[in-house]
Amino acid sequence: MNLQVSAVRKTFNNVDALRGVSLVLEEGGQYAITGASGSGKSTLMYLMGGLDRPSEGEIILNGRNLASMCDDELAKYRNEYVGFVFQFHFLLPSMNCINNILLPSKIGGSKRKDLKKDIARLAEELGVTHCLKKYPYQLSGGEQQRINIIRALSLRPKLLLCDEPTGNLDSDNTNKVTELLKRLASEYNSTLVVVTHDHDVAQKFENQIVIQDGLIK
Amino acid sequence: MLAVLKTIVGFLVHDRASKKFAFGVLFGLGFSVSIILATIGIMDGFESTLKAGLKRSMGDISIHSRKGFFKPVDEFASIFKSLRVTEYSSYVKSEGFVIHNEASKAVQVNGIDFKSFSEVSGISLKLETNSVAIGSELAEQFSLKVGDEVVLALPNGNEEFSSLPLLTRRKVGQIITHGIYLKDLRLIYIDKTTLQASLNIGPRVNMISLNLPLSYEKEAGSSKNYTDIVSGFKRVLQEELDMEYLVRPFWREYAGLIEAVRVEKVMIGIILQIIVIIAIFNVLAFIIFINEQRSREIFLFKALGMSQRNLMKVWLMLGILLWMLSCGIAMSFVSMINYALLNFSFLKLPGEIYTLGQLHIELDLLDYSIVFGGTLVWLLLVSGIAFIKMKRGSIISGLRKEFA
Repeated sequence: MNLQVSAVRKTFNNVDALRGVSLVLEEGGQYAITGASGSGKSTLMYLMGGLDRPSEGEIILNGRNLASMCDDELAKYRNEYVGFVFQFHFLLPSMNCINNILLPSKIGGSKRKDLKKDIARLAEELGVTHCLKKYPYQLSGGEQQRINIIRALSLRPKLLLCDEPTGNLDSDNTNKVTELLKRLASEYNSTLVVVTHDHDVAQKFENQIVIQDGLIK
Repeated sequence: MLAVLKTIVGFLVHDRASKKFAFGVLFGLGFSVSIILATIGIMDGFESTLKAGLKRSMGDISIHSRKGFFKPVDEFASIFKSLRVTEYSSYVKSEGFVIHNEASKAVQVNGIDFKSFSEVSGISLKLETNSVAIGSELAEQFSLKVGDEVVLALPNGNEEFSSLPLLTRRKVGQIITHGIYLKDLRLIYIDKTTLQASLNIGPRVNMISLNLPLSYEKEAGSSKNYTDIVSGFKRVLQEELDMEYLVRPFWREYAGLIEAVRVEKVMIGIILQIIVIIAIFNVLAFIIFINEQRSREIFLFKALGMSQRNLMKVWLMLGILLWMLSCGIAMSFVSMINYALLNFSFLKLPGEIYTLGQLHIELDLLDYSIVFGGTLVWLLLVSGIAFIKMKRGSIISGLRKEFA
């Protein structure tokens, strides 16, 4: 699954966040997008994830332009193709962790029989089996982020998009989470895109994309 | 999909404030719907009670002569036989007075044959020749009980209205109830031959009443169908009889009132839609409240792949769930109102004004369908417009704002 970004521009209130970005993400590739705060790296990631539409340009996936998809098609794309790992993990405080993890599958109506087994395996691998029945507020920041990763991977996405996944973690956990993301993405043959302003995290990726003032440097 | 929507709806309304709000909305809508149902039901109940009372006093159909008194000749028997009518009775109806303790009341005196009258009307009358059956309202007004004596002032050989009234002392042999205030106040029954003798009319009568063959009643099923069948039978009978005779259905006496009640039912039903609309604005407020309170969850659901269409389905399901529960609550309220009408004396009507002394609620499937269906249409219309007007913010800015 190649994702082709062509001359994408994104404007917010007459301010250009992206000013004609073009790139190609290859299937199974692992990419780090770096840049200063406000450079447009997160905006690019959200556009690739179908959370927003570009003001101009194309984002082509399997021959289809995300920019021309209707709301329902984009929603389906987000559910079936994309896994998001957010910096602020966005776990719902009123649901326990297992229900938070199962949200994408419930929304998409997934009938995968091995889903729960897969989740249990991931939880064991990430050392958060004991957290599954707990509520997010009962977990540490590292545990919450690992639950967030399991939720993103639960439907085996083709594209794993991570927005500052280590932003709230100490250096030890940062290394662990980065390695974990890379390993799991390889295991699932997912294309991994990590947006980070941490130089050390970016160094761990062969493909680094640097964005500056809305353009790829 | 249904299970998913159920989970999400359950999730949206899980905290105390939302539950309290939902509870209030449910009861508000349920109560509003029950008011419409009860109003329509009372009017239907009024019509059916009135008709039952009328039927009880005179059977399904009555035959009168344009000339007044007539002989119930063999011609009638053969026509009734051909139409399979087995229950019929001839009457002499006249005017008179009941006098008791220096008070008098004008009444309609019915000279009847007890056996055949009981078959036709369903009122079991067993009287001695020198006694009289009076209505329950008259008995109450004159404080009469069975065994008391009253004086009847009957017309006397009055074909030319020339003689003085015949005053005769009678025992109250029976107190009966027709279910219609005026009939319970104004109708008295005595032996037919006594009245015929008093009026000096020989074997002649001025009315025959009859019931449709039993097979018609079974065929009808509902009271509305029965009315249609009686109308049809009345036409057939009219064709069979000489033009001298008039054939009337049992409700003709109050046909104007019944028609007025029907028209009023429709008008009140329409006017009462206002309270349903007001209750539906509460539902709308509830949906907006949930939308605001759960915006964090809604933005996350969208980010994880919930489409606008599915979100709309969730609201729709929430609305339909509220509607279904409201309908259930409305039915419970209606039962409670009906119980109160039947059992609490302060809810009894002044019969001299409303014809009937007591009302009950009578609703059929069509009444429920119209009221519940109308409520659902209003609900979908108002909440649908509101949903379309709801702002659809960017998922990213929504997530950042809500989880900040």
